[in-house]
Parts: sequence; structure tokens; C-alpha cells
Amino acid sequence: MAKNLVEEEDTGMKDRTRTPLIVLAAVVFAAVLGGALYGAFAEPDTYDPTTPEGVVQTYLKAVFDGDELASLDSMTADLADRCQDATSLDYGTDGARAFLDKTTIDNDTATVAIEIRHSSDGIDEWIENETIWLEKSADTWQISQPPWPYWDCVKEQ
Amino acid sequence: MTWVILLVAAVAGVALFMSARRPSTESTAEQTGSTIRRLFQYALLFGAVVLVSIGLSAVLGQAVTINEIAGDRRSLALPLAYLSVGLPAGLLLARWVRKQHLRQPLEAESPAWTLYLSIASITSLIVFVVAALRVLEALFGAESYSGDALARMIVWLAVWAGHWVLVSGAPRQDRLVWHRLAGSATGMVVGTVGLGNTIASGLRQLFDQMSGDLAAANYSWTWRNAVSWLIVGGLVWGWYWMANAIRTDRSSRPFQGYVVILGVLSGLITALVATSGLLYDVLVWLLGDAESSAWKQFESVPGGVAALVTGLWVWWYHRTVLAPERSEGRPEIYRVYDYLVSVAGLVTSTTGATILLVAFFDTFSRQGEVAGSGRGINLVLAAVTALLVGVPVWGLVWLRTQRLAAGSGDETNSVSRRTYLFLLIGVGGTTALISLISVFFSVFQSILGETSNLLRDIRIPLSLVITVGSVAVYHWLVFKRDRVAYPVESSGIRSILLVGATEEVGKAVAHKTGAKVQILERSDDAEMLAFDDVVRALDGQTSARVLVVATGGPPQVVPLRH
Repeated sequence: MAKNLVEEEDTGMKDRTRTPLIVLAAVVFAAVLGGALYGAFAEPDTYDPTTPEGVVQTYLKAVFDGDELASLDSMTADLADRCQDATSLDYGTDGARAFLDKTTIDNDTATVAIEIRHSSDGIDEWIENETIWLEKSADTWQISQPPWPYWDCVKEQ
Repeated sequence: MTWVILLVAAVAGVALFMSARRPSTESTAEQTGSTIRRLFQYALLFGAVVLVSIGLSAVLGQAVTINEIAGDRRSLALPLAYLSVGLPAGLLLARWVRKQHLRQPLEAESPAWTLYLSIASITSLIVFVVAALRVLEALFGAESYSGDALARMIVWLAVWAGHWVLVSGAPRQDRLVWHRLAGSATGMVVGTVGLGNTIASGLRQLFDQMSGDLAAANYSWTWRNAVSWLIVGGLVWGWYWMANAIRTDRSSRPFQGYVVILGVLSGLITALVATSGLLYDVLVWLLGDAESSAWKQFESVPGGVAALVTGLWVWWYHRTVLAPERSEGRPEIYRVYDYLVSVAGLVTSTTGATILLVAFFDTFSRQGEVAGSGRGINLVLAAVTALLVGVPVWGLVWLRTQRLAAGSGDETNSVSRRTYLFLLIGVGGTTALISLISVFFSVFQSILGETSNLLRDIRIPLSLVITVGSVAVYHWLVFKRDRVAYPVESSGIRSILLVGATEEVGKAVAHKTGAKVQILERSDDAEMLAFDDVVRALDGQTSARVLVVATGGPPQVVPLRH
């Protein structure tokens, strides 16, 4: 009889402690979901478009939007001419995000190191480290060498 | 080349089958000699049958080809060579086998003969099915006419029919249950793919007409193709399953394994995957980064609905085939089913939770982000979908098995539950530890000044440590509780020799005592050992090795020297 009473007490205790644990789990889940949704909807910081970082941001936004014409606007006239027939923009940007790593300015030239993280399912991820070269003419920074993901910028004769 | 592979597979299969057999009354030397002889005999017969069938198909294919403008008759050289060698060799072997079966009736009961019949029947069935699909597709106008396919269909149907006659006359029908189930599985797979595609192509056509898409594809080709699969699969399934397999012993392990794993489980998983796809489409349309029009967003709905309907039917039908489940002494296969469903639900929910956690950490590690392809919200919705589907599936099955485990030591100490727990503890623990190494690696890189954003680098391994690690720890606690609640009984007996017992009794005694059990069959008609009698007789035995003999009354237990 005593054993039964102890068992009942144990069961009752278990039932009583279960509810607060379930509430805690629900609160943690809601917080994680809320944080994830907030991050998913949030836009990246905006950089000044007159700086090398700003030009790179404008260029990469066009790349991720698949807008080839807009992406050429951030390049020098000569480079845009070479890249307009490139097909490499069609590949490799789905599920990717770009992060600034390091900017180096040397008078009228600059390099912006970027990190591109690719992931199709949110768990498997691979990283590319790329550098974008820019030059300044008439107070405007422009990309001067084929940037990621253009790799076939050759002007057809 | 293919037949050589089939021949090797047949030889390997015979060898494996023989090695798994219990010893019979033949001496070991005699048995090995017979096994090797049978192995070569039936492998050669199988090779000859394949050669003749390939040769005949090619020759007949030339004869029934009607649309060829110019043909190269030299292509017949190899098939004719196959026929020239295979036909006499096959006839001689068949004659020899027939003579042996007439002289020694036990020959027809050998596992090698059963294996030959099973492999030859299933091989011919599969080749016939592939050819019949092509012929039917041509008949419905989905493909062009192929004389080769027609010839293959006729020849391999004849090969299959010949072997079916032999199968029907074989003395050990209990061993041929595998063959019937393999045929049923072939029919079910082809038939359900056909059923799913028939529904999907019909719905797609309807969908495109409703959307007014002028550039929409014409699905009548897909539909005709699918109907061919439905007809061929339906016929094979009807013959193998409805007319044969379902009439065999439903309590046998192969039968239950087929129904539970290939029927109930595969149907359930198909339906769940389809439900997830449909739910994800709706969530993305309502909250996510959706396509520009509803028609485009929901273009995978016909396929999803077809998979859902087909999966639910397969699940429902096979549930009705199974006898109602007993809570006491329920068969192990029910446990296998429960724990497999539980694993599927748990893996789905853990994947969802991990993606969600990665997205959560992402929110706090976006420093320096300049641009992204903007699919983040859809990834979060995919994680929510995985949780909405995975958690109820896992929760319902796991709570049920926990209730059963609380009331029964059989359930708690069952092989399925132990395997399930060890698998999750082992795989989960290993994954969590590897992820933890990755976290520490990034932390040390950060301390040494080589990382720009630590949280960004560790967000994935850290999420895996939390989710998969929790799974491993939780199941370790469950395992510990199981051990305390129902410790495995150990009788001190390490080896038991049962004289005159069935395999089922042997396995039950092994499970109960934890000892290694061997069985010897009696040649007289003495009463077989019963499980309860053996357990009662072994009670109080202290010897590590014992012999148990059926006597008609209580079993006689003889302690043996070490």
C-alpha cells in the first residue's frame, strides 16, 4: 500500500512538473521562431554608394536579383563591354549570401574582400573568398576587373 | 556481361543461403559436396536459360521488326552463337536436373533448387515487365513500335511461365514465399508509380486548362505512359499478390515484414512527404517569398496530391491486411515498424529544429552582410513544415511505445527498441561530438585572430550540438531508465542444446535466458518441446551448458561438462 502511495505521489509530481516544462519549451520555440523570422525578413545594412563597399553592395544586389544590365552599371565602361556577353551570372548565386571581409584603399584603386556563403538547405554550407578590384575616376568608384561570379568576360570579336 | 553478373549473383546467393542454413542430418562432408554440386548445377542452368532467352529474343526481334528500312543481319551473329551453345547445354542440364529430381525426391527440397526457381522467376518477371511496358506504351501511342521489345516480352513471358509451373509443383512452398513477395513488390512498385502518374498527369492537364496557360505542355503522352505502368503493374500485382501471396500464411515473418515495411511504412512515408510538400507550398504562398502567380506557386500540387492519394491508399490497404495488433506478445515486426516511423519523424523534426536554430543565430551574425539571394524566409518556412509534420509523427508513435515499454519488459528489452536507442545515441552522439570539435576549432581560430565573425562561423555546428546532442542525451536517459525498470534476466546458463524443438521455441528460450541455443531435430514422432515447459525445467539450473530433451512428460534436463 505504501509503495502504491509513493508511486502515485511520483506520478502526480511528474504531471505537475511537466506543464511548466512544456510552457518553457513553447516559449523557447516561439523566441527562436520569432528571431529566425525577424532575421529572414530583415534587410542588410546599407553602405554609402559613393564608397567602394557601397559600389560592391549595389553590384552584388544586382547579381543576386539576376539583373545583368544593372550589374554592368557598377563596372568601368571597358569591363562592362567585355562582360555583357558573359553567361556566368546564370550560375552559382542561388541560396548565396555575401559578407564584407576587408576593404583596402590605395589612392585611386581599392580592393574589397568578400566572403560568399552558399547553402541550399540551411545546414550544408560552403564558402568562397573573393576579391573585387575597383578604381576611382571622376570621384566615382567602379569595378575594374571581372568580379565574382563573372568568369567569362571576353569581348566577342 | 549482364548474364555474367546475374550468374555471379546467383552463385553468391546460393553460397550465402547455404551458409545460413541449420545443419541437417547429412554429414558435413556430404553436405558440402552436395552444396557445391548444386551450386554449379543450378548456376549453369540459370546461365543457359539466360543465354537462350537473349538469343531467342534477338532472333524473334528481327522477325517481328516491321519498320526497319535497312538492317545489318550481322548483328544476329552473337545471339545465334548464344543459341548454339545455350540451347543444347540448357537441354542437357534440364534433363540431368529432372533425372536427379525423379531419382532423389529430396533434391527438389534443397534450398539451392528453391533459390534457382526464385531467381529465375523474378529475373524473367522483371525483364518481361520492362519489355511489356515498352510494348504497351507503343500500343497507346506514347512510344514508337519496337519489335525487339515485343520479342523480349514474348520470350521472357514464356520463361517466366515455365518457371511458374515449376514453382507451383515445388515441394517446399514455405521457402518460396520470398519469391511471391518479391513478385508482389515488383507489381506494387510499377503499379503505384503508374497510379500516381496517371492521377498527376490528369490533374496537371486540368490545372493548365484552368490557368489558361497557352504554352502549357500536353500531358496526354505522360498519361498514356502512366496508364501502361498501371496496367502492367496491376496485372503483376494481381497475380502475385491477390492470387498467391495473400493466400499464404499471414503470420509468417516474411509476409508480415513485407506488409509492414513495404506496404504500411512506404505508404505512410510517401503520404507524409507529399503532405510536407503541399504544406510548404501553402506556407510560402501565405508568408514567404512566393512565385508571381498562384498557378506557378502551386504547379507541384498535382504531383503532391497524386503521391498523397497513392501513399494513403497503399498505407490503408496494407493496414487492413494485417491482423489487429495485440498488446501482449506483439510480433517484433510491429516494433520494427513503430521505431522506423519514430526515426523518420525524429530525423524530420531534428532537421527542422536545426535549420530554425541556424536561422535564429543568423539574425545575430549579419554584421557585414551586403547582399543575399533572399530565400531566407522560405528556408524558415521549410523548417516550420518539417516540424509541423515530424513532431506529430514522432510524438504519437513514441508516446505509444513509451506506454508499452512502461508496462512490459518484453517491449523494453526488445531488439528493435535497443537498436533504436543505440542508433540514436551512437549516431546522435557522434554527430554532436564532431560538431563540437568544429565549434572549438572556430573558437580557437577566433582567439588566434583568424575569424571575422565567430557566431557566423559556429552557427551551424552549434545548432547541431544543441539539437542532435539533445536527441542523443534524451535517448541515453531513456535507455538508463529502461535498464533500471526491467533489467535483463540472466540465468547463468550460457549454452542450451534443445532436442526436439521448433525454431520459434529456440529463439524464445534464447531471448528469455540470454544463452546460446542450438536445436537438434528428432527423427521419431516424439512430442516437441514447449516454451513454458523448457523455462520451468531450466529454473534453478546452475550448469553453464545444458541439454534439454523432450520426453512426452516434463522435459529432461542434462547438465553438461564445460
